[in-house]
Amino acid sequence: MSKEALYGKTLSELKTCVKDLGLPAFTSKQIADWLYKKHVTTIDDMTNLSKKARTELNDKYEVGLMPPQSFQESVDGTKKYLYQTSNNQFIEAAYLPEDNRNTLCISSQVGCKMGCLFCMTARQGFQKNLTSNEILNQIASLPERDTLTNVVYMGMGEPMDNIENVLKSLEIITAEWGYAWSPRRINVSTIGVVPAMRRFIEESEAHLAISLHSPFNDERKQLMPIENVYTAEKVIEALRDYDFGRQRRISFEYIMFKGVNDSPQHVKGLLQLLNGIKCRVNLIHFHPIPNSPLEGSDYKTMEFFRDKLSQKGITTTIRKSRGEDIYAACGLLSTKKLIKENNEKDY
Amino acid sequence: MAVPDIGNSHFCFYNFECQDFCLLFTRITVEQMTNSTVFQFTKQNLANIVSYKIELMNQHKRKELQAVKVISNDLLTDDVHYISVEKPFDFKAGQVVAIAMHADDEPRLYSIASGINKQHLSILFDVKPDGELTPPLSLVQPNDTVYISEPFGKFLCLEQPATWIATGTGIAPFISLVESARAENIHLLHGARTLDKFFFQDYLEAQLGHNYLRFCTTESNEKTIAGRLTSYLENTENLPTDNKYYLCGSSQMVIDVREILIARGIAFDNIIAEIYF
Repeated sequence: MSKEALYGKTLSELKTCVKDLGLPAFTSKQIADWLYKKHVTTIDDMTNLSKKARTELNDKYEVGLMPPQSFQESVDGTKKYLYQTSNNQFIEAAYLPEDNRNTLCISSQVGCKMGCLFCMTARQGFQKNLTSNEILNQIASLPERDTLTNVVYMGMGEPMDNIENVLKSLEIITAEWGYAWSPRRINVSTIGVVPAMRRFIEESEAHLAISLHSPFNDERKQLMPIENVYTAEKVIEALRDYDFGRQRRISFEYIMFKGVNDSPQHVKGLLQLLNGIKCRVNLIHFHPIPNSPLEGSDYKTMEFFRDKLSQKGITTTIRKSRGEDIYAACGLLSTKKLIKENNEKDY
Repeated sequence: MAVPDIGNSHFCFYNFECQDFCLLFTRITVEQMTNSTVFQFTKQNLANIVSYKIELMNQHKRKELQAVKVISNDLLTDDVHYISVEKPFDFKAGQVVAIAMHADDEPRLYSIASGINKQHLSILFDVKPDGELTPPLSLVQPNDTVYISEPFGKFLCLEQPATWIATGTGIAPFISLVESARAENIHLLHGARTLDKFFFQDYLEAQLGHNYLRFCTTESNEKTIAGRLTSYLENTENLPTDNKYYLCGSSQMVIDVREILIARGIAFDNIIAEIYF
């Protein structure tokens, strides 16, 4: 029987573990220290724990880190790592080095349920939620771990559809007993699953990025099925309930599709929708996926769009594409080819 | 409950180092915290604040959810139930409700599976053995209480002529639409693994006649088409390219069907999907 992983447990969970084993309460803080500050890979390495404590922990637990199985490197320096998760499934994470920051884009689910038309991850359907261990393992087992300055939850999956484990992982990254990172180094994306998004806003201090892609209900529905349930309007309405302070950032991600969402009417629609929200807009070049009916807008149109929004006071940037040649760019992560075909389909 | 005098809106939730409790501050930013008297709160103050936070969150949920009496709970197959409850709100066919066993539980979303003029509001669901809601929900009896939200959602399938495509319990919004007399110029295609999963098929057949097609992947009878719905979509010559296509079911079904439809020449803006998540 496989052992339970300690990595990915919060301090209160570690307290329960040590209590159940009859170990002194302070052991939990020591374990957290070994896991999240000293980055040990075995329980035996936790040398300030008594031998008895280590033996008892070893009987039931393991640290539970898994190195990446492989990686690909882009001409622009981006690296895409493949990690194995439980049930013999796989996820990808993208490491994006830049001059003054090194960002890791991590996954929160194997696959995704949300079915966005433009996304490669959606094509593989949904396989499972990642545990907090599997979310954090992407950071902990990254060869460049110690060079990281930022983490974004923008890889495979919808973070708000796995809110418990995402919040747990955020707690570990930001707590003093954990990585002790500032939450301002973390950005979590969502397509706008409103109840979980509210929880995230209330229980975390990390930045929030909302995938918008159209200000119009009928059009967004064609691109993103979530619009049938939680409309962009409802998402914005929910955001208006909160004071994000000066430091916490709300951004809207906007992939630009040629002839679909890149007209002056869309600029107007966006200005109307985002009126009064302190935010920034990131325009993203569409990275085509096979058999997609969508095409990316040209750079001139993107610049026009950016300038119009900026003139009206919305800080707008065009996000640089990274790792397109190794399918590591925005919307391209997928482990579909590693999934066994499901023959139990009802259609 | 006694509520400490800390205002009434704009929370900032902050994980305190000793992590035994979380601090809730009102109208105080993290930056202000470090320079203010907030760390002079007593442990009792903090406990009160946490209770206050929980109470407020629960109030928020209670405001969203309303208690309703269960009218009936019908077992349609070994794991699929059709539950009817009191209807406290009007709704539009195709909308969803959030439902929970208790006012403070995290609710789940379900498409309404009954017509707008019916006396009661019904949902159709399959029991997920590991789920938090569906195992207890499957056991409710008439007069028990469950909690539902106001209806919401925009999967209204307003445009016709249209082809509606569903698998399994994804038929729910289409039942509501047919029962609401909103199916004049539509074709309904339903896929299922076994013959007993064509819920309300007699009713749908009576209402839609030949415009109602059933595809069964593992069994067959004279009323169903043996094989996959996806195979039909790939091969049929009767696939109008200017119809609207409305899909409802699992994300994988939506992805697969959408891909086939696009490959068959249907414009992506004629395809609208509702995904169960």
